[in-house]
Amino acid sequence: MVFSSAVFLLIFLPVVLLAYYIVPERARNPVLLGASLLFYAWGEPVYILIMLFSTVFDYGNGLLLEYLDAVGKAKWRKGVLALSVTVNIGLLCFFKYTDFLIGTVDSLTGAGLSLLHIALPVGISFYTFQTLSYTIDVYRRQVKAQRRLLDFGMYICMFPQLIAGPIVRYRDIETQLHARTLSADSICDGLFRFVQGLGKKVLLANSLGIVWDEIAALDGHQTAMTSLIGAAAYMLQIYFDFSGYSDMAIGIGKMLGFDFLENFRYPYESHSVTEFWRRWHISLGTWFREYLYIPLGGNRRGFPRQVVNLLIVWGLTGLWHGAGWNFLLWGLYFFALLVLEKRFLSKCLPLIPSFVSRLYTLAAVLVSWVIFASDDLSHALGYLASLLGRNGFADDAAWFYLCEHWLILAVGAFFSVSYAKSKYAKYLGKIANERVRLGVRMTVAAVLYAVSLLTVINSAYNPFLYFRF
Amino acid sequence: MKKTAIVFFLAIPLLLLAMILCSPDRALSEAENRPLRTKADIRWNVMDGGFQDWLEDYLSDQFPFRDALKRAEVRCAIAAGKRDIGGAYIGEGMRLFQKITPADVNQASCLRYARRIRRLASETGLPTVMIYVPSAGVALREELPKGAPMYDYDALWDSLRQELTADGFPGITLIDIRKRMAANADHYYQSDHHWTASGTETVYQAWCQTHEWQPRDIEWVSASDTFHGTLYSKVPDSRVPYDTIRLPVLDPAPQVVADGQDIPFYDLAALTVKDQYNVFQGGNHGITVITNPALPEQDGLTLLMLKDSFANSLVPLLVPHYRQIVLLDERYAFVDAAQIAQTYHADEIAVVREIISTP
Repeated sequence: MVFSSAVFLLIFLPVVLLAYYIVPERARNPVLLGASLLFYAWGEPVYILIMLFSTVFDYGNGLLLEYLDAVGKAKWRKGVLALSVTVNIGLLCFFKYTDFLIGTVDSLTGAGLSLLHIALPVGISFYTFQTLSYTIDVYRRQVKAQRRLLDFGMYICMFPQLIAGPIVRYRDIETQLHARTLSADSICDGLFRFVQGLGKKVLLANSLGIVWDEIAALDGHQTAMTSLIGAAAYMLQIYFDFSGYSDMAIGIGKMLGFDFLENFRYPYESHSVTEFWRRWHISLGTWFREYLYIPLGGNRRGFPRQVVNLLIVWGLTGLWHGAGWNFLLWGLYFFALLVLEKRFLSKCLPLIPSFVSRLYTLAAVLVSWVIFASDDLSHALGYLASLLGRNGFADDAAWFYLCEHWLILAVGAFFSVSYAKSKYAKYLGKIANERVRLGVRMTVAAVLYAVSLLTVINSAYNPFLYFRF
Repeated sequence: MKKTAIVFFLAIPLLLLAMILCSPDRALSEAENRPLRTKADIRWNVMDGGFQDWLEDYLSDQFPFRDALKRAEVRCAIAAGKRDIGGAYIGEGMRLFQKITPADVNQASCLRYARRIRRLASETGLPTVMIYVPSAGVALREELPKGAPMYDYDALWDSLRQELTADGFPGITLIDIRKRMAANADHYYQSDHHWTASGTETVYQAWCQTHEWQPRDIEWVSASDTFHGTLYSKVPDSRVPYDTIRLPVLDPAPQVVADGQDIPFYDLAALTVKDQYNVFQGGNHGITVITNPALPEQDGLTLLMLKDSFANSLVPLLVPHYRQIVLLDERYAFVDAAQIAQTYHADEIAVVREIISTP
């Protein structure tokens, strides 16, 4: 099930929230777990077994790790951790990368291998990283193993962040699993946050996606201006799509009494690519830093070793986003930029005017999204060449696209930076009367919610040109 | 007050849900030309996602005031300066065009189809004429919003002609109607992608010229002046002008058998519902056999026409020239055209279709 669907908005969310608020406190976790399993099974009635397996497996591993400590067989602990990592990463690799590997081997050897066409279980990249963070933290003795399977299951399967993040580390949420407070304040805040995310996804990301799809289909035959419109649309789409989803997850979390960490902090305001990655998909960056980069030695073993570590981290970050050469290239592109910044640019970027460094960052990120969004290398190269003016600067079609899409691009750009939000917060801060302030927030949220819901409904409006009874 | 806000946000969706479930289902959306999901077609299989899909479709299809919501959205989009709405371009005076971009046209499959027609012509040995209908947006390029992308009809036409007449193959005559159709915007409806009466008459004249016939005088009768076609369904805005449907008078009326059933030549009932273009032979069928009782069975010609819906309004003008016209819509009937030509003793083959509907 996705958040921006009629079933979720009209049935699932209100019914689950209502049930959650009505039942006694001790029944809330079971309600939430049941709802989460239903949420997942709605889209993946079979693959839910894999998620349940991962859950039970790592629940067992956590207990085993503690047991080995208790009985003084600590040397076995490494083996348990290795088993957990192998099984979890193995499952992820099997479902996500098998066909990619077969395809690669086939194209290198010409052996005529056929693909297995394995469907990817929704959210497996996210929940695998969550369970791994748990086992590793228990192994490091940073958290205690969770004894209640129900609570642990709820941590892994919780529907708000299950299928698109943020990746919640066990230690960040451990206490909240059994003790959390629900107040009208936090529910209201969560509600407004959810609606904000819904608006980002439904009103902005989806419309921007149509622009990109249309221009990407021109297959590199477009002028520079058209390419720029398309790439800018994609750049905004992926931000609103992803951060909108995170907003919705954080919002629903708040409505349930959880506090998830922020996942995006206006990344397009960054002054360097390094800063961009501190503001973009923060939970993923944190995960890779904590569980891969630092264990590899981070920057503590000299620059050459740091470069190797960065290469590993960014190659894998690229592949985490998808099984394809473009994703690997995308990761390596960021690796190159980050190394460049660490070695040279970090000294000059602070010296140049702010708007120049921001422009540099935006341009670097824009190019990365073209690589990211292209199915293959030749499409990406063709698109980048047209962006650089291979087919001329502008033509009538470019002006048509501009007239057609300037508004959504302008609105998108406006909301992709913090200006609007800080102005709105300032405006709210000036309202002395709390009831009036709440009234304003409620009105804004109600309008945004209504327009988003109606847009979801309208997207199913689908006239048929050729029709037979 | 915060509690009120929470209750409000929880209650509104549930109220809407109750409204959807309790009000009687609408079975058909005239505006969209399609049946809607109802409680009657509920699917219970959860494992393959059948139930999930049904519920999602059902909720959006039965949502209260659905058509009005769509109209409001379209109005906002137009006010915001959009000229491409759901695959329809809005030209001057709210004239609508079907948007067909180069990505929508599969040149390889067009060429494959051309080769098939060539094979058909050479297998049957029958004289074959072809009309590749230029879409309104191609013929009336100037009327489109400036720069609006459309497929390159001329380039496609050239490669198709090459394919059809390569090695000096004499069996196929291509009728080029580009200039004639571009000469007058009134040849296409404003709210639909098809030809108007004047459009069909222009094509008819080209047809007669190719066959070296004297065109007949046609008596037209106005059937509807409240026609809003399929493009209007994409842009349901009251400012889109109404079109007029005119029908050529045929006496005696031809007999029509569509997929084995007798149907009226003009389906006047269609004029009372949304898609009035269906007045022509009641819409598209797999195989339609039209017999002209005015011509004696022995010496009249039989025409086999492979067609899409553009042909539906052209056929009435051709009827007086043939004893029998067999219409084959390959999107609905998967049969061997050569076999059909043999079964009905065809004397001539015609292909009338828009490139985009090439099967």
